[in-house]
Amino acid sequence: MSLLKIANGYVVDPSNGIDDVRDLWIENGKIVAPPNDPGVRPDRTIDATGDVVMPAGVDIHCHIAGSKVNTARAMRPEEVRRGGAVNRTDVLRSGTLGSMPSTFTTGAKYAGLGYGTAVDAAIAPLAARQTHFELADTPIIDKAFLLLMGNNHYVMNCVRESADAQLRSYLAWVLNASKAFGIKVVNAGGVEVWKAGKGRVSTLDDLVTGFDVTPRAILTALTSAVDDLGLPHPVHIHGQNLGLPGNADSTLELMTAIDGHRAHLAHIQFHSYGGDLKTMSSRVDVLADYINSHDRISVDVGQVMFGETTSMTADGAVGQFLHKVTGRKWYSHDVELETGCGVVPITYDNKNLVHALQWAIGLEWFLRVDDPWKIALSTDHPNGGSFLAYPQIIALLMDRGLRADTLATLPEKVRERCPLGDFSREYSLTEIAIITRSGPARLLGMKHKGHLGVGADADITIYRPDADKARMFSLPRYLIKTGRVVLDDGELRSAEEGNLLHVAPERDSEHEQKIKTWFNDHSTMRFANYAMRENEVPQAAVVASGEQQS
Amino acid sequence: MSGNSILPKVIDDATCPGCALLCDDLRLTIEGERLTNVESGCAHGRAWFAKANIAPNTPIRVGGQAADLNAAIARAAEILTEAHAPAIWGLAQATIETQRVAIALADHTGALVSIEGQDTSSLRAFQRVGEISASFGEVRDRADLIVYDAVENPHLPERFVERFAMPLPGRAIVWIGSEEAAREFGIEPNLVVTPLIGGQTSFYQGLRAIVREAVVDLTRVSDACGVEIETLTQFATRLKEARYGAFVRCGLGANEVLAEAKFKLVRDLNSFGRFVITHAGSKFSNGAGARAVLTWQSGSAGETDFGPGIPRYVPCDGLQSRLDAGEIDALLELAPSGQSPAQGRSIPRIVIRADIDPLPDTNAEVEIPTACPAIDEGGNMLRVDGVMLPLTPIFPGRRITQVEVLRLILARLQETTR
Ligand code: SF4
Ligand SMILES: [Zn+2]
Repeated sequence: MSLLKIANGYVVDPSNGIDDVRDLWIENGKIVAPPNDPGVRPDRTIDATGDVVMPAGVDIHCHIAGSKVNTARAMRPEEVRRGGAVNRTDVLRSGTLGSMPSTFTTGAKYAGLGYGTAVDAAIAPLAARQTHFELADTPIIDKAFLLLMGNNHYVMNCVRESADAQLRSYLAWVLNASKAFGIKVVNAGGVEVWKAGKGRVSTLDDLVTGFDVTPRAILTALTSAVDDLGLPHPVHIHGQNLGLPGNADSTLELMTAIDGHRAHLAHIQFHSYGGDLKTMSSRVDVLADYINSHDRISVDVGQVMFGETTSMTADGAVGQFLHKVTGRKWYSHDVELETGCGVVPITYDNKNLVHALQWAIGLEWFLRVDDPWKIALSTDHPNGGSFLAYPQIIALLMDRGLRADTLATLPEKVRERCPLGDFSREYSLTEIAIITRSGPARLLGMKHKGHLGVGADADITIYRPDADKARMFSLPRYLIKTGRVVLDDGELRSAEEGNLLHVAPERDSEHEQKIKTWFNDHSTMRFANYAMRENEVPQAAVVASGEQQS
Repeated sequence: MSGNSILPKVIDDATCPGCALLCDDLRLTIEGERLTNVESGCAHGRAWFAKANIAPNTPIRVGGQAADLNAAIARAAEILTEAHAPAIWGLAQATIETQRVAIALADHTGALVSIEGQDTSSLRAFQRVGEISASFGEVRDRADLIVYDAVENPHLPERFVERFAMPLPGRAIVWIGSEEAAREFGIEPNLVVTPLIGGQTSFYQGLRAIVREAVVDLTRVSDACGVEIETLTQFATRLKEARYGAFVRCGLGANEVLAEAKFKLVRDLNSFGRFVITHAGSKFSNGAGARAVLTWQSGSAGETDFGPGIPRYVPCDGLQSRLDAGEIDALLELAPSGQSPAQGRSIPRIVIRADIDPLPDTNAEVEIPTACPAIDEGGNMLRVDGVMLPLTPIFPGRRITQVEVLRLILARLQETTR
């Protein structure tokens, strides 16, 4: 296997406290120690003099695969046309862009931004099989996905019966069977209530009809079970009342309810509003205070960027709400026993007060959280905007002048209702590296990602410093993925399939018999046909579960 | 059982590709080289599986003469290389695995892709207004009202009712269509509404207006659709009062405007209770899969032209119109039926098809009979409601599969490009 050296680059590796000029050595897809023998010649040397070398990016929360994303592509030919297309080349299949790029394009564009890993945050177990096919057609990057469990009937039955061991067995089974990476909760219990036509759930103590459980009970049971299973990533939570003015109170209540457990709160921007429809304002202050003073909870932002995009969520009620507000086309799909799904096109308009506030509130989050290890960069792609907007967000974080300039173009009331303009903080390169790679990797429990220490995956990005930070981060010079130079001085050289990362917690065969009986009684597919079969996911790679975390 | 002591082998929970319902609860018994029993499937499904024992063993042919695989692959690759505007058609009964490689082949050769049996009117209506749908389990477990939309050439897979829509106390059944058709499908509806075939759009638009309490001239609606005013208003009330209604489409969308009227009615009924629209499925076992694969690989769900080096959605300039205009100069067909949209045209055709029915000569330049999904080929298919199911082949490895043939052609093409 060949030996690669990245020479003389300015290495930013926050996990290992490194922030200086040095060499990196790569062999067999991993970072290796510099050879002891000074006579050893690498097979290739990349001269990174003057360049910035970072671990490749890790996206902790995006929507890039599964039936929801794919149906959104099918529903929006106008958006696909708007986005334009990507030509077939010798190494890459053709494809389309827009807010839901086709699979090959998705992989290539992530790589083109210097990203090496992306986690799809919302897959219904019943859609796992299709998801694997889509991800297999998403080249270069490593991929993983989280399973929607917050409205799962079996889970809610376990919660009602306080059957903790049974719940753990179920999660272990479903994670193994679907080769998923972690557990996601979307509006715990609320999706079930909406699916059943029983209205909305807006507090943690509302009752989930038919199950006699509360969102609070579902959340605490799942956070405990995930800790007990020692999954690398804690429960990934999409809270209640997404997008609704005044929702910050329920977000704070949620944070308090899971106190003591590890948890990750997704697209927190969408859950941080005070006031009502007329008086909507930022409440980031209280929520960020909570994050600043509690160590086991992290967030990703779900930054909104102005322009055309597609909202998609497992929270069916949100789809209906957006359709009513915008009058635009609406796709909804209820998935038996598991979840809902809503897709509505959306245009974030900088002259629209609500949208402008959302933009400002997202940025306020980045600036208010003191410890960058607790906050990850995301647009909740494509909900707040495309992942392709990450370089622009980085630029906004690194340059307060740019923020002020943009803020000045927004409706006056934004400045009254969100204190974004008061923040002079500018992110350093190290902080950017933390929120885009090292932090997300650590929050995901991917110990082999997000850093450049010996033994880490050789997923490395090399940027040419540029006063224009958006340009710098959108045009990396090199991407090395698993030791292979994929992006070579700006040219895409290959587009091989990356790994599919999943967990394989210990199973409980005795209990699986019960799951099988229940499954066959309730699902319209047979238990025997659910689990991914031998060799169906050739790129599968297990990320080890650790010790019990609670 | 014959004298040798081969024990019968049983495959439980086998998936049936007899139609788009993909029932995955069949029990197959195999004795030696024969499938001897099929349980749980409907008559059509059993008949479908019975073909496992026929194996017509049609020879590979090139230019009408028996040929070996290598020669056929070489000729197929040659045809596709020489073509300026090739097309790939069929796909709706192939596995996801085959479909993925077929679209790769289209991308490589700059072909137009057209999926057999696609409901393009409904696709376009969906692209205008969206759709409120559900997996079949939701219908089975929640629906207190099931409305069958069965006016024109209705098709209802045999096991749809048994699996997803059993009559229950508290569940009302409405049949939109003729009483005879309801009887034919064994449905005993609580209400039959029979709009005129040409009056359906008025019928659904009128219902939607009544439901939304919009100003509407009921007499005109009634005249246009041939349904009494009283029936219309009664039915509208019933729709509004449903806790969870399911509108089950049985057949193809005749036109875009009509399909749109249905999608909008169902969508707006969600302002009262829950209401979803589903499709009972056609004979094309994996049409949904073909559309899904094409969509994730290209961003386009309908007819797609890879000719420009990028995928281009060409809803108004698809295979048929290009064939008519003489613009297609080679056709790769992936359909077991042997029917071809280019029959009688003088363009070279490559037919790669599951060899399940003995067919008369297809007159193709290249014909490669292959294994058949679920009989001697594994893989996956997508149920019409979005649930993907694996196949369990009865005689794996018995014959070369479609995906293997397509991979060989693609590899040959990639060699020649290098
Ligand atoms: S309904 Fe369709 S899938 Fe089910 S057994 Fe009959 S033919 Fe097979
Ligand atoms: Zn999300």
